[in-house]
Amino acid sequence: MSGGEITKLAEVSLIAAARGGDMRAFSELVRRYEGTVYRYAFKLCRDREKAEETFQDTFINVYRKLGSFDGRSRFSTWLYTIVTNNCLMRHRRRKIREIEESLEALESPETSADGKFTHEIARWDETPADLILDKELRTQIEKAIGKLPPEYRIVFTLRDMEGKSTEETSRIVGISKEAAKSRLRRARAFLRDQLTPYMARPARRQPR
Amino acid sequence: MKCSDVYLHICDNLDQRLGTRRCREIRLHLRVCRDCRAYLASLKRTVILYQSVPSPRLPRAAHDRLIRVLNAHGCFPEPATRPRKRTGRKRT
Ligand SMILES: [Zn+2]
Repeated sequence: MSGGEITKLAEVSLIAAARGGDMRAFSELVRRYEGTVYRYAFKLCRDREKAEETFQDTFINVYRKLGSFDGRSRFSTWLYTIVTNNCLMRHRRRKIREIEESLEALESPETSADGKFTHEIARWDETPADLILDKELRTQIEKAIGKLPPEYRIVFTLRDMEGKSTEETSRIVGISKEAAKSRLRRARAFLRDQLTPYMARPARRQPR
Repeated sequence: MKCSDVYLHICDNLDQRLGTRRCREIRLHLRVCRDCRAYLASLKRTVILYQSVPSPRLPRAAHDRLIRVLNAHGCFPEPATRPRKRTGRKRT
């Protein structure tokens, strides 16, 4: 098979060839997916060096485990699973207990017995995002997602940034669809609360 | 439908465009509840803010380092590009 033919191969044939030990097919798989893997790893790690380590580990794992890929899930789903697990392994050592507890409390904003919010809900400034994505806000956006425990960040990233469905997200992470929904809800609520001081109308107009 | 129920069920579909009974109930509640409208609007903005942060493209140097690492693991056969150190991880 020539190099030109390989770049036109359908994914299924390419994976089959790579599994059969065709180095050029494996190289083509790397070429097709390296950008996606790097970006996703970066979104999870929020750090260039960690992202690159995860990126390298992922393709080493792909090379070693390709034989066990049975084609029952999509290749990209399998790939996302490997990146996700590599990211989680890198984070296991970090202390995350405190924030996890505060996320449990985020089951809902405080409501009274009749289900009404007990505090007034802050109104956010409605300036289009591209106009207000200044340096300070960018820093806050980074800080907020950095505080989110990886289990939540992963679900938020897959659903809201990578555009994956609840179904695919639950498969990638290896949790139930209900758990994926619950983590997404808490992650969004946590990030929203973290950004509220910068986004609520009075705060934005008069920065401290 | 109560505000606390709205919070629990707006998760999956922030647009509430589904034709399910629950979605219709949420839409009705949103029409009359300013707090829930404000809350939902801020959740949507949160998502948009994160989507608007550009993610970096794969740097050429990182691609090159990956190829070196894969070579060191014997993934590619070309001896010409194989680095001398077999455990050449990262920025070697
Ligand atoms: Zn309400």
